[in-house]
Amino acid sequence: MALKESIPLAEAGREDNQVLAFIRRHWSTIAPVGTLLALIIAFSIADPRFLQFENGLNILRQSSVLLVLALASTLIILMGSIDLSIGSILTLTAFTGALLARSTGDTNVLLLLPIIGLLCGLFNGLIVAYGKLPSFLVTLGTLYAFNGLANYMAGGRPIGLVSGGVGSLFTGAIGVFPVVALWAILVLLIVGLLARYTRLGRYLYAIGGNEKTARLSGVPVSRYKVYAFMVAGFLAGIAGLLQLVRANSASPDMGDSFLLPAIAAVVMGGTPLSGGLGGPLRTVTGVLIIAILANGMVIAAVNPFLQNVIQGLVVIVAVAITIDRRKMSLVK
Amino acid sequence: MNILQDSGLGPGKAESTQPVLEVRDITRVFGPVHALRGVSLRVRKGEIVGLIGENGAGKSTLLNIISGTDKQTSGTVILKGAEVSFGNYHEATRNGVFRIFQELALVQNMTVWENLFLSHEQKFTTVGFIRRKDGIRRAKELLERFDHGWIDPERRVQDYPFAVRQVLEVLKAFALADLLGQTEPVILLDEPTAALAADEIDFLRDLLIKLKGHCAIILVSHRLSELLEWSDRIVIFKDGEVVAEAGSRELTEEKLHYLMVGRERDKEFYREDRQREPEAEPVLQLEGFGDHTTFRDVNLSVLKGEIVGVAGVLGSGKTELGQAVFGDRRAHNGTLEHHGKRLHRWSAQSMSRAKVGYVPSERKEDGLLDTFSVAQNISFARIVSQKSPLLDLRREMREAEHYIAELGIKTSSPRANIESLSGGNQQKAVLARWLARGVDLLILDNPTRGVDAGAKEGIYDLIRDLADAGVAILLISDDLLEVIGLSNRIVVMKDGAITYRVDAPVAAKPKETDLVATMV
Repeated sequence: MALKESIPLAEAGREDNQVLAFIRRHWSTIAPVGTLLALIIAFSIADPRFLQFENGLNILRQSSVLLVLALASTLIILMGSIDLSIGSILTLTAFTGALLARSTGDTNVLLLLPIIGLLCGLFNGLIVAYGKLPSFLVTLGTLYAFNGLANYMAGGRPIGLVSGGVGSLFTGAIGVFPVVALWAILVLLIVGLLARYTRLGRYLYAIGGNEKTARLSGVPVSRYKVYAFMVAGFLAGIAGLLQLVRANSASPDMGDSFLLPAIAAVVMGGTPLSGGLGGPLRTVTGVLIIAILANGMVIAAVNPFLQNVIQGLVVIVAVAITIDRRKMSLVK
Repeated sequence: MNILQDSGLGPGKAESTQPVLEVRDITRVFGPVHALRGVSLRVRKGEIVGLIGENGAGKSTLLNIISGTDKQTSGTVILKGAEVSFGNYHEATRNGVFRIFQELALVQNMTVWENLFLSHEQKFTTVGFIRRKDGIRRAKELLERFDHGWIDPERRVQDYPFAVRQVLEVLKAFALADLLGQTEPVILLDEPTAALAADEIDFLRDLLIKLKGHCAIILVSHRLSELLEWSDRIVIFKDGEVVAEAGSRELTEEKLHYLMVGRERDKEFYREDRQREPEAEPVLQLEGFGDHTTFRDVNLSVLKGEIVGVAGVLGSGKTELGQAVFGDRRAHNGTLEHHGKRLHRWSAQSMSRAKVGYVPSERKEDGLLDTFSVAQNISFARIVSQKSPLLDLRREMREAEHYIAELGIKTSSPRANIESLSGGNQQKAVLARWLARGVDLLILDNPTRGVDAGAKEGIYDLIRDLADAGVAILLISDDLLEVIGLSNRIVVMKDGAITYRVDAPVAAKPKETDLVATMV
């Protein structure tokens, strides 16, 4: 067939090898989902308590904040950039929220936290886009700056959250279902729609895929980079709000432990660091792999130090089988 | 004519009769395109063989094969009597084949001596540590041997001007040949003077005079006078074949033009019967247009429904002119009017908003959204120009299906990744991007580069359709037949300025040789 000759990918799959061809074509989806299923099966065999409904809710609770932060990270990585400061934005917004709540006497001010996150993102974005600096270095800088600012305001001590106000909307459960997970799913829905059905989303993919072409097609690239960092900051602010309410206090460095898992989740899900491919739905798989691994190892009573070793190795293996090596490059 | 003959360059006798390098019957096929067809060539020590031909004639492909960065489909490469097939460039250098690339391949922030021996340091190491002094001394000796002892081996390459860096790159080949014990190196020079000014060219020529007796040189150049003066023999390529080979004493520039081009133009291929009279309304007007460095004083207008061709060799400024009109490069001098309205500041963004489209010459680097599907590539410029921030994915799919059918884009599905398509079909999708957006001025830079004949015809049909629809087209191209066949008017650029203008009505198309004569 003349048509087939011009399509090298189609040639790869011969008639007798259609299953293989299918797997190859959808590998970037199959690999992470396969990893996830393998983990679930392994832990179910290791300990029957893992499969209980109650534990499923646990996993949801534990992964919600990580999901929101990983979604923020996804948008930036799609664009071929990286934001190392999202964990610090979480810390900064949580501390600001705890302090403001203490001075106003209730938690209504927490609704401002996403806006504070957005301003942090604006700061990142302006420097990256108009200062023409690499996002890695800029956000490495703001990682320290935002963290330092949070600790400075709080005097380096944890601050408890006062009760009363809208804070209760973000905690507890409806029936058995954790509210925090509902919020995370809502965020996922919105970010998913943003990536697929808005011009902003399409531009992120285009800038990550080929920034030059995007510019030559008339995209105001710098402006949209700023927008992306603003949205990521906004989401990190939401993550700060959720984590503050969940922990009922803000503590120094509370966001640090989220940053690397968030980035690992994005890449394991199948969004390469070079950008242009993947998306929010992929990230869900990555987040679940991380959450289930952590949860399952606790249930299976793996030595806590060994847990870190295993987590690290799983990240490497998952990335190794997921990543499309043709698209690999350094962070822009 | 050959003032240099006594001093060592130009036609002369080769030192030995046994060729250092011989290629026999080399063919290279890329999909449906024959980049090389049965090419044979021999070079002896002490000899400079010049290669000439239009862009895409196959010169670079041949150098790629000789230097191990590409593989021939059939045929053999024989080096010093033995058949060789290098897997990569490093392997080629170890066997004494060195290539001086068009783009400087020196590491700018490293020193001269480090660059000269880069990737071969193991020749002077002690238990893995580089003996610095040794390297510097060897570099110094080499520079002195070829009368460039004034270059400090311990300074960074970036501290030296462009011409010196080019010389260093040539010397690097000798440094490595010495180091590797190669007494008969083969040096491939690919357009060494394209980016040099006149006095800098003399500088390089002096070096070649010194080097000539020590090696075999293949020289690719677009500058005919230089090629005639420097080479012993000249091999002329056309469409992947060697069409002539002669001692440079027997050749003249006119003769070279004639041999290089002189292809029969197929009127039907370029849809010349569809050439139309443009309307009187100018869409683009340039006056005294220039950017200080690459082009200057360009006066040009493109009317509604008109195709204006821009010809010129590499470095003539034609590509940069296109970039500047579209706003991808700053123009500092002169004026640009779009529909009679003078623009003061413009960018790719504002031009695209004003219904101007641009198809860059580097499809892979600048034209494709390579992570996108065919449909997403087609819809992109339209999405950029639309008012709504929301996407209509159903419209995108309809639009893609429409253009895939209309332009005959061969793809398994609109959702297939753009990279799964052949070059010609990718290019059609890039053109469809501006069709879907709807433009009234389209700047095309080499719209059919790397495209097979069938897809070319499709693209020519499309260009005619656009002209019929009243789109003004600025056609910048290295393919002279394309420029002649498609254009209503043609301008030729040389060294940044328009040097020749000619009307190209269907009944009286200019000849390829006439244009080439004004280009070089």
